[in-house]
Amino acid sequence: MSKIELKNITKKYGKVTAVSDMDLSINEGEFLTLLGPSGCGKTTTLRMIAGLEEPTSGELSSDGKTLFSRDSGIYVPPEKRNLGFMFQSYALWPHMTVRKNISLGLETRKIARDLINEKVRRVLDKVQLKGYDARYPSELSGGQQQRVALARMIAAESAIFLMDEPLSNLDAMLRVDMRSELKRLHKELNATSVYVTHDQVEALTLSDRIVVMNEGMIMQSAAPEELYLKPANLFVAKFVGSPRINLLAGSVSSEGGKYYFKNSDVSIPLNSLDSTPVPPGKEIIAGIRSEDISITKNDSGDYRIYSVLPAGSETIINVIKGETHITVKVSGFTSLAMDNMVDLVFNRDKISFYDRDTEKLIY
Amino acid sequence: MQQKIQFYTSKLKSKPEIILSIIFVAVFAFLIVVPFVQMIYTTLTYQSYDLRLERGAEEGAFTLFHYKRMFGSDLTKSHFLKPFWNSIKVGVSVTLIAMIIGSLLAWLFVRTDIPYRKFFQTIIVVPYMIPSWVIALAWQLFFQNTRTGGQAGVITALFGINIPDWLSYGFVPIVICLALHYYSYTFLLMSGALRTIDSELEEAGSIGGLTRSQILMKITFPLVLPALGSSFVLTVTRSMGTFGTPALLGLPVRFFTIPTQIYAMINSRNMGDGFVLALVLIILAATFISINNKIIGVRKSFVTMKGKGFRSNPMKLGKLRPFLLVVLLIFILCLIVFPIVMLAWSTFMLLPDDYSFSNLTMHFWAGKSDATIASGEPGVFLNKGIIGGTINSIKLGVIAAVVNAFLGLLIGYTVVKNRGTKLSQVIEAVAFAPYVFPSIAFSAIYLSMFSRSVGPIPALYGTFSLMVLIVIVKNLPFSSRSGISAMLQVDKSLEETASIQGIPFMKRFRLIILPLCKSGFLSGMILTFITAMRELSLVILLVTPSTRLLTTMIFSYETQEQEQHSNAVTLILLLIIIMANVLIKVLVNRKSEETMNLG
Repeated sequence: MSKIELKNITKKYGKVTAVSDMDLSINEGEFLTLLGPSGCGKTTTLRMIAGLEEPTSGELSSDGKTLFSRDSGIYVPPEKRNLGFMFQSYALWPHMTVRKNISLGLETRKIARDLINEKVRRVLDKVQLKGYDARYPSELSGGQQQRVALARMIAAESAIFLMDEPLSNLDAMLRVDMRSELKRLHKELNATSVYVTHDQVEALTLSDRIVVMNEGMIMQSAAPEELYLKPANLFVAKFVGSPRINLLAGSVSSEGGKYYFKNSDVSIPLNSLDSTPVPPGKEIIAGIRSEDISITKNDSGDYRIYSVLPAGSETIINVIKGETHITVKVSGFTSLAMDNMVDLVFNRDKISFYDRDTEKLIY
Repeated sequence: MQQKIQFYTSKLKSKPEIILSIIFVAVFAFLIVVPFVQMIYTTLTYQSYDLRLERGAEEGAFTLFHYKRMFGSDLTKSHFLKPFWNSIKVGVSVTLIAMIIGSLLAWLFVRTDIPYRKFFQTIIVVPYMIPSWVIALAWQLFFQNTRTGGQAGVITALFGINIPDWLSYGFVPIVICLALHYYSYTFLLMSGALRTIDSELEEAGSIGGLTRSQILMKITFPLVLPALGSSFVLTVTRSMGTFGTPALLGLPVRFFTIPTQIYAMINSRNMGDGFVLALVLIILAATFISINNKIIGVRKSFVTMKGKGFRSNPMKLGKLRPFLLVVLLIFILCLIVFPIVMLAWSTFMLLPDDYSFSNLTMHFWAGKSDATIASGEPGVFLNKGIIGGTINSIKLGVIAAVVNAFLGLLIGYTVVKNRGTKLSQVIEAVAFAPYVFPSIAFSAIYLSMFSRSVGPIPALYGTFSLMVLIVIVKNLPFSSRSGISAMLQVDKSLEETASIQGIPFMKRFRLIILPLCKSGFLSGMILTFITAMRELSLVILLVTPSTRLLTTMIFSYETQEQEQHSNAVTLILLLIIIMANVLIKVLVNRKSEETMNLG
């Protein structure tokens, strides 16, 4: 059963279309991430689910109950949608203590005083902020503020959590810590979660499913693994993964029953299938990730090393042949140096082919 | 159709900003747009006053009579052209002088190593707080001559020199007195602007090989141009529209400006002609504002530059330092110390032009009614009228302050939450409209509009409520502006997160929005209080004996040549205003607020 359902949702600001005819269903208990570059409509989508924005047209429902539909005259305001929202800026009330920040929403629901206190204590415990209840937001670090915002959202015990880039204001270290906190929390509470981010690593690490958006449209909706291994189109291929996927323009040709991907600079042998789904001679783009290429030093090799960028756990090596740049990732450090000549071996199973015109995955 | 209605009603319930904007549109239409339309309508119809001038005229019938009279008859010269040119002359002269003084002072305090900066900066803005016509009162005390029948001023009385008319009354003293008030506007705006300019920008120019004057003209000047533009518009529109000073110093020699001419006409019930002149004043103000917006509007962004790596390098004055210090001290003596001391001194003088010590008396402060002195007016402390006026003034100030502060914040909320919609623009524009109405004309319209009951509102003529209403409406431009800027500083997610949690609007407003806007809210409140306290031209037509205010009492004592009473009441007014200002400084960080509320 799907928890949240978006049907033909469109949002226009004047002449600008922020979200265009979007269909999406989010399953009960799912952790779904809306991923995309800034201005792709992901935050607008989240705010429409929350009721902070109204769709220009389309229908929105939750648990089979319609939340928004202009046609049938239904508009359920945010406070009646039973959801929690975490803002990028945390939106903590600066003039209230941590306790008050968490309890204010509960107080309006006519919950008994001692029950509220108990709840505040429990959620602060959960986000590891025991004993901070009398502090003001300005007396907390960024990470602690973030936890208060999280605690406030949890305290309401809503069935749906909406999060708008909650980690983007934290420094890199804290962000990694908070990711595992969030993942743990989701497992414990099992609330249906919609998470917005432009950080593909965050999306890959946290989500059950990722919806990649661009210019108000869904580019692909898939589990992280599928999204990474078989990007449905060039946009997703380019957007997900770091370093960026290698994209080579060329065509498939066959020589004596063997297939090759070729362009003026490179020639990559392909799996010896009986036939290839890609018609030989057709102009296509091949995509292969940097970790699916291995590299060996060979003074008479075809490729020259353009740059070597060691980063501790891995080293990114950029090689060049003719006009073609290829990025290779190796683990740890390497003895290879700039201007060394090398050979490349491509993992045949991991190559994807895209139509040059439609930019869609062929195989 | 039914679904549509259902959709919008359910939406309305959860969107207070939409309900508020509907209310504001309706209320503003009634309080601002209707009066304006009525004003135009009055100019196009015969009024009862006109019946004896035009044979066969019928009250309320359409006519261009007033326009013909004002712009194309033998009255044109005396009733339109002369006051018009006087206003322009006064406005432009005042503005030039005020801007020169204000800019120089701003530069001196922000950019040089002049000593005792803090002290001077506080003193120098005193004229901004007190009513503009207080300086005119003081001027009379010094420079009045005997020719118009009044008592002689200090100079004539002590030295026997008879001051020539041009220095006692009319153009010259009006310009001087107004310039000595309005320089404070330029000063505040310019010091704000100068403070945001990184002196590295100027240093970069000098490294680039520009001379001092080239730096001034090519770098500094363009950067402060927006502030200069605002100062110009503010000063020119206000000095052309002001009533008190031209009334005190101009009327005795029949030197009319548009506002005093309007006052004279409306006082004699000649509404039609008065409103034609009011329209002229409105058009003039609107013209100056739109010219400023055209020329400078696009450059506004300069002012809001980030002060990143900000560094201000004060210029060394060197030998000029002691000299400028002396000039400043003399300026302050003449501007603030002498006038106030003189006002105070005069209240102890039994005969107004006898400066000997034997002439001193406490009568005007504590004396019982004595028919031989001041037509029997008792001293200030025993004077029921003055005590009543003080209470009225404070009451007016407090009510207006509270109402305006709340309205301003609600308007700010509505405008900011609806940002980007037509509705939001309309509300913002209409709330600003009272700015261009000359106070005299505005009160004249209210007078005629509320002299009978309108809808649910009973006839308000002669009531205190009418004065409260007009002061609130006239202050809307400032309170809505400060409300908008206060609301812009509150991140919208702070309220959204509350509304998602189901916290109702009233509670959100009280617990979240209000506390977050507290400092702007409080300073806006006190500023409105001060403006209301010193209001004269807006209420002069509306007061009745039971609703007298301090300002109108000063004016009427002055016209009855009871100088001691008038000056004593002025001192009381100044005392209250200065106390309110002290309060403002204690309550809020003043630096940012002063410039903001200049609009």
